[in-house]
Amino acid sequence: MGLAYTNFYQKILTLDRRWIFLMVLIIAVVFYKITIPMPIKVTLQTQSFYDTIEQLKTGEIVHITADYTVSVVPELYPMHKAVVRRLFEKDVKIIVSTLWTEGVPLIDRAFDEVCAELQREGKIKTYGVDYINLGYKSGSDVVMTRLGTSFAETFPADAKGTPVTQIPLMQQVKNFDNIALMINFSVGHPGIREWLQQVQRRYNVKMLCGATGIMSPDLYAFYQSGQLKGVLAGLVGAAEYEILLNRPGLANAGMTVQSFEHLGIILLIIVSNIAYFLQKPKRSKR
Amino acid sequence: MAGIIGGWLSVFFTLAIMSFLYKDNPIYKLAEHVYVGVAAGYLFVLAVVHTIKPNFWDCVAPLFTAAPGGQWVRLGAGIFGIMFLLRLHKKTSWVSSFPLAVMVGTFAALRMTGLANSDLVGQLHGTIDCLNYKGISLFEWGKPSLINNLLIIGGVISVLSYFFFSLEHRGVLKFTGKTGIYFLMITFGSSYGYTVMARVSVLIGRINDINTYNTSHYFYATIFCAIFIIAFLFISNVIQKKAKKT
Repeated sequence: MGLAYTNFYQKILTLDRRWIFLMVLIIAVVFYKITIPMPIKVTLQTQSFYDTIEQLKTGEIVHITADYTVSVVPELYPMHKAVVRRLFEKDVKIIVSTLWTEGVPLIDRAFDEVCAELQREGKIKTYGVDYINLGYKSGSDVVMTRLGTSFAETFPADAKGTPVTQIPLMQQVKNFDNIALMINFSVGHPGIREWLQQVQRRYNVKMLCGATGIMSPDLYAFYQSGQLKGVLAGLVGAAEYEILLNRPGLANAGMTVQSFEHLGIILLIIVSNIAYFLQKPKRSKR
Repeated sequence: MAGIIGGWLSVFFTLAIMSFLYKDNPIYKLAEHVYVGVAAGYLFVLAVVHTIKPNFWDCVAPLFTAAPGGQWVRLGAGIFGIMFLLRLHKKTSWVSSFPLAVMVGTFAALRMTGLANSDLVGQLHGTIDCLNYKGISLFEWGKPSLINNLLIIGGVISVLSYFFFSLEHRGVLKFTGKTGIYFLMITFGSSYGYTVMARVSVLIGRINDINTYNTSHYFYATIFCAIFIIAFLFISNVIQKKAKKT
């Protein structure tokens, strides 16, 4: 038994996982500091996402649902911010709500940062006129279907507690008939799957989605069927969108780390598979 | 000042949680308990502020103060809530099955129609659309084309046949079933790749914060927290080893 552990392949196969954690950390730290520009090819899903937003007209209203939490901020926040900025640049009005408790401060953060950037460029956006944060509402699917009847009855007040009857933007919205586009940033349930089930086909709403990498492969089927007009898949999706906007930002900054981490993991998979197959004859002999 | 304290807390708890990757330790346990406690408190406050107050209290309170805007129907939600809480007592726990039944029934109905509409009819529609070969090229990477559409149809049929258990998997069914496994494996592989990307994104986020707070403005929070945690782990290791020897 002692001899077996001296074998090189055995050592690889029984490698303490903490060495792998260390490798992942070292790669992340090194390539966080050293940025190597990575070629990013824009996928069809991201291109469609971009095109759908570009087709919006001035004054139209978009409903964003920020159904994510602080744990996925690095993945979803860059795309959330990029989308809010692009919509403001196009003078599109934005209504945001969330079905996740931690979503409220993230909505405010995106608005605050984008409004400050635009203010420096001489463009002022006014709360209640150009955008509104309706805040959090519990109830998942029930909230979604209720919005189809009335936004004001589902969210009687905004996140700050101001009655929506006193907010000018909300006077223009009764239900999904007044919404030109819905954009969902999704991390799980309730999220994009529920919005598709309860709202998209029932109220015939044009829908886009920015989702975490884990969720994305499932969503491609909905893009292929036309239920989603575009999908931003994780950090790489956000990076592609930033490229299309010609404004590399938070997502592009992380792509060097992403690429080298993936390279490291692919190498580990190859090495451990080679070790496994070279070890196999000895095992069968035993 | 609040920003500096927030930065220190952020770095300390990030490194404390990461210290679990080395091994389970008291600093990790502290961070874990604080996280659970804060999350529970935060959720409770949000439930009160965003749900109970606007949906129940603000609608019911006017009924008892003769102010306008009261809604009797909202009392029903309060009664349902109390019925749920009766679950905590052995003798009255049966009462909670009534609101639970209403809730499960409502969600089942909503989900069933939504799921059938979106995941079944919508997806069937999307797959059948692939049969439409007019105006598309023979093959194009990542775009609708004849070969890609045939792959989708072939994939759907073969994966479905893999899960068809009413007949023994022989002959054609064996072939399509095996092909279905390959399609599933490719799907799982892509999901795994995306999962790695998601986890790395989270790591990038934490490193970004750790880097941000490692400046003179934050009094080098990262360096001091890292030194403290490493020293603590080293000392606790030494103490544990000594205790084992004795």
